[in-house]
Amino acid sequence: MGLRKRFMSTMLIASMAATLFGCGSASSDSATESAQVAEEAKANGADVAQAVIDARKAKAEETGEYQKVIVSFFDWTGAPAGIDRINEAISEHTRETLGLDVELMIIDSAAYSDDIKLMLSSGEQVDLFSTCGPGYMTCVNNGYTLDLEEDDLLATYGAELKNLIRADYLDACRVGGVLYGVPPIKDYAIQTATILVGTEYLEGAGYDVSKFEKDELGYYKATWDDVDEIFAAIHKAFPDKTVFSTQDNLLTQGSCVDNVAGDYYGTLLDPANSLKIENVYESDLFKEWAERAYAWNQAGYISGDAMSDKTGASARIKSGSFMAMMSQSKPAYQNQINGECGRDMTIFDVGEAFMSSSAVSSFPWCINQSTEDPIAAMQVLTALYTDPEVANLVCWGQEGVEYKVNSDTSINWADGVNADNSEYYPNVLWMMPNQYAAHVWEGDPIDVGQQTADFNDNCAVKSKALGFTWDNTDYSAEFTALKNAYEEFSGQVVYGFVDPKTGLKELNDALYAAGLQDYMDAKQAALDEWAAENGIK
Amino acid sequence: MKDEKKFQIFAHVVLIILSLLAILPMILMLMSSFTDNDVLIAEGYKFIPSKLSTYAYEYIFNTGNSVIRAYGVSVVLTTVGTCLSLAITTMLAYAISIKDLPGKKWITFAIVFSMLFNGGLVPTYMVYTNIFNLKNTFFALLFPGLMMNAFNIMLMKSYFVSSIPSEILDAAYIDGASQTMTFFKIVVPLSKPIMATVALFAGIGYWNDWMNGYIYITKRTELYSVQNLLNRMMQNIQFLSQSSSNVQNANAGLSAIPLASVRMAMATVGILPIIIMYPFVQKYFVKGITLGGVKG
Amino acid sequence: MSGKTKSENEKKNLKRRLKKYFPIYIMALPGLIYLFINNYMPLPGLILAFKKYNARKGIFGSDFVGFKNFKYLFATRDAFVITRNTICYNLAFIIVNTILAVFVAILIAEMTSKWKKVYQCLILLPYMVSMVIVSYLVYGFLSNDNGFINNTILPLFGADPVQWYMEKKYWPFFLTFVNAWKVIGYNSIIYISTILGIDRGIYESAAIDGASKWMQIKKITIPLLKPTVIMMTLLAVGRIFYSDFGLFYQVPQNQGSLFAVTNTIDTYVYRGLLELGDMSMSAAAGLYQSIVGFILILAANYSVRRINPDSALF
Repeated sequence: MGLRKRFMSTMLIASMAATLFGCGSASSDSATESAQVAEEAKANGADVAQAVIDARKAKAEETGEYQKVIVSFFDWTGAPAGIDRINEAISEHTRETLGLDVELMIIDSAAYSDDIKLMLSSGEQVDLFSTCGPGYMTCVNNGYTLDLEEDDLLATYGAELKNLIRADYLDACRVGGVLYGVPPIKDYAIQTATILVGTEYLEGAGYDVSKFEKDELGYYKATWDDVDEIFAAIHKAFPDKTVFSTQDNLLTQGSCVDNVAGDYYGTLLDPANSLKIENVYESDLFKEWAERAYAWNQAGYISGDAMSDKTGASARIKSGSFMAMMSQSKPAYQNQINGECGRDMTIFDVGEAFMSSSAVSSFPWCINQSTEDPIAAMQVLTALYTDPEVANLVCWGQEGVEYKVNSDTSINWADGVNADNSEYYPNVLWMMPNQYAAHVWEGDPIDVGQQTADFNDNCAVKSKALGFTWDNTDYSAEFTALKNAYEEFSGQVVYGFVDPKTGLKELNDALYAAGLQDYMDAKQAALDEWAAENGIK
Repeated sequence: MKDEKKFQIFAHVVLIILSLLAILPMILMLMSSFTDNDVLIAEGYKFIPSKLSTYAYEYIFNTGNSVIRAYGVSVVLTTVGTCLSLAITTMLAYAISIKDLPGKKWITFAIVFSMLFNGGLVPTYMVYTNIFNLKNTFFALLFPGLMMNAFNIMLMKSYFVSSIPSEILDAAYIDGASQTMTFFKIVVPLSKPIMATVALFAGIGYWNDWMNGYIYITKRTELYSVQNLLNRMMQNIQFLSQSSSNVQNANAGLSAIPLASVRMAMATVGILPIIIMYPFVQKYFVKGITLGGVKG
Repeated sequence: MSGKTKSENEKKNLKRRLKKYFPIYIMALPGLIYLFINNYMPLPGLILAFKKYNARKGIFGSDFVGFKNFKYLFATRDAFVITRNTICYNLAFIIVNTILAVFVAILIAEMTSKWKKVYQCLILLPYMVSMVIVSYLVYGFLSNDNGFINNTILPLFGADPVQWYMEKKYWPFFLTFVNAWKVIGYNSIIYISTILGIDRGIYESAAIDGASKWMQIKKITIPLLKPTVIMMTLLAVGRIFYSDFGLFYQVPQNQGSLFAVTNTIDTYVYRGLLELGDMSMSAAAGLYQSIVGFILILAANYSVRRINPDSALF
């Protein structure tokens, strides 16, 4: 045994040394230089940000090589064919404006989450990255992200960015008071509980929709009773088709229940007015849904395979054997859903507009804590949000190659280009730092940016806990148990395969046995503390 | 002899049943890949679908990345990987099959230990990228994880111990044959069955692997192997269909991807070459080992 | 005195053997180097299981948290179920797969017809298909509304459709079947190669002595397969706390009502870690599985060595 021990420890030491040796990557001096220049400029009272840029340019002139900032995010196909050309085009511009090169490192969605975590853990160069994929809280908890306000980084080098984003949206991204990321500018609010029914089925059933009033987004305002009536009508007219294409989205898309801190184990049932953490699975809201789903199932509106069929709800409607689904909507939703479902859909708005506490902080852009030059990274981040030239290149590629500009400044494919053969078409506009700094695609309203901002501002139910985040690592055992308990007992309730009387009890018993009460108590304590700190009652 | 005949008939019957069991689901897979996507969702997976479509294959072969080139990468990777793997596995396994080799026990222990414990993804990644700089190179597909494994070594060692009589080796030694000569002239020719087996296993491992490409290839898409490419495509469209509520108007075309049939078509594309090449490779391979043994 | 000469003799003997086998060490070297790089250099990373990972501090600099990362594996009422499922399925797989693989191997190896290559290739095919695809094929058979069994097979016998994905009792059988279906071809190759390595002369002389085919298989083939079977079983015992994630998560379509018979350590851990993304916790789960496997393999190896030293791993 002694020999074995010695053998093992020798192995360990040798390999540890090798691993450590490998980790000590050669660090360039650009960071210290930037910092030095900044110090001097500050002392002289000059424009610090510009001084740093000038210094970078001067150095590049000397060495003939520009410092590089790497920006990583995902798309659907991996590095696009034209990536080098786009990088060169962006760099050509940023050499002038910022005195550095920018490289986009685009990884496909399948691999991004793992790849970015590996790169951030191993000290490879990635300066800026989107947390869409690995998740913002995961990145913060693992220590991947830089404090953006360290040494006044944001105020000094990202002043324009700071002005662009509303202070309460920035605050929404703070974790423990520290700002680790900047949210992409997009629609944060959602129109909850939208019921979509194929128009042809409504017509086939002779159902008259003109009795409904329209809401501010132009969709029919309806109640759950109306929905029951509609379902009954189309079921009668098309008995061979399944009425309702299910997905487990009641809480996420169908209600104004706030999943504070990112999960539904302890929620705010009335997020606009109260900060009391409650168990949503015991609430009237969930009970009503369970009863509704059970009634629908009994009436034959739901497929017997609802629990095991993992096909997307809209894909099933497209297949022609399903007629209706529930989703969330937003401005300019009609075209999109028609395309997804392969037919004209009639939109019924049953819920309210809602902005949850985590809506803004779902996937902010972050700076890698191990970046060699935080100043340069912050300046590039700012350019991504505020420089239309950079934003256009990142979102749409090059004018004349990927797209052409119409007379009203909207854009469309350049001649002979389409989604399949374009050399640069990341197609992740919603993840982009600021899609509204770039052109608008033909067919969308030119003022879509303003419309979206209004939609966010006018949202009826805005969570009081907006900006509250909670690190649940100390409760990971409970979380794992809760997740397993939920997946074991929720499906049959949500899809109406079990009488709510027994189903809800089973689910709640399992959740409490998995430690729901402790978990909720801990969440409540953290929320109370946060509310006290931020003066929210 | 009657006995023998009875056995042969029995074996045929059983194997035909087992083969049918094995390939019936494969046929279902093949048929689904040629089924219209909407029909597949509406009517389920059928041996005789109501509407045929080749759209899934058109989709796979027409989108951006070249499947043909990915086949090329896979073939080169599998060939090179199998040869290297077979070489180092055989030599190491032979060493630990020798009864009185000093340190044999420790080496064997180290091998079995490596099968049970591993440092995890991040440390392994750091070793290969930070120390060996393999990221975005062909070698990143070749080296990490696949080249040798404890299972194959133990398998081979067990064969050497049980099927190569130590008397032959002793006799060779007494005759003055060097250790290397004994290995190439006696051990290798006597070990054809196990070498073919281990080569097959290593080959399957390389052909089926997508993990290495997934982790180590972030920039050079021309280094995608078939399985890696197909896996990425599949996961991407899956992800895309899940986050469709975020996708913009201009992308309506993308939501038309026939996910269900493409999935089946991809699986077919991934294993078809194996069905075609299996007999040739097997034949050629056994020959190759024989030659190697004779040449010494 | 005699002790000293003995050890001197041993030393001399060792020296002689080292010299004799020097070329063997050189031959083993590439494999050993690979083993060191691929398996041992990342090994210090195991320490993550006892730390709270923070990229700022690095793997070795992160704070120690003791056994906290292991808590979630035990502090749950599911701990018993997932452990039981993992072990029982593995034991069932070991037994079923070994018997079937040996059976198939004997049939193929003893077959004289050219068709044996075709059979071998066909039976191997399922191994080449990923579990995700298998899960959809299984769904094609078992789906409630559109499944092949409910729509075509059961009506033949006039039986009522069964809600397969809701009935726990069938799944231990389904999972064992799917697993066997997938790996039998692969495993049988191992035994085929062993049978091909057997000296044919033994069979011929047995045949001359009038031994029937069955007797030959029983008295020659099976005993000679025993060392390989033992070794395969020992290796499988080392992985008894692991489970094929795809088989237990994807094939039952992550169906809640089946958890009592499908939840294993790997699927349980996955559901939590998918969202937590915590490296330390996944390291802890891996280490727990490894250590149990390691202890079991040492114990099993020890008992095998007492009975039959040649079959032991080390």
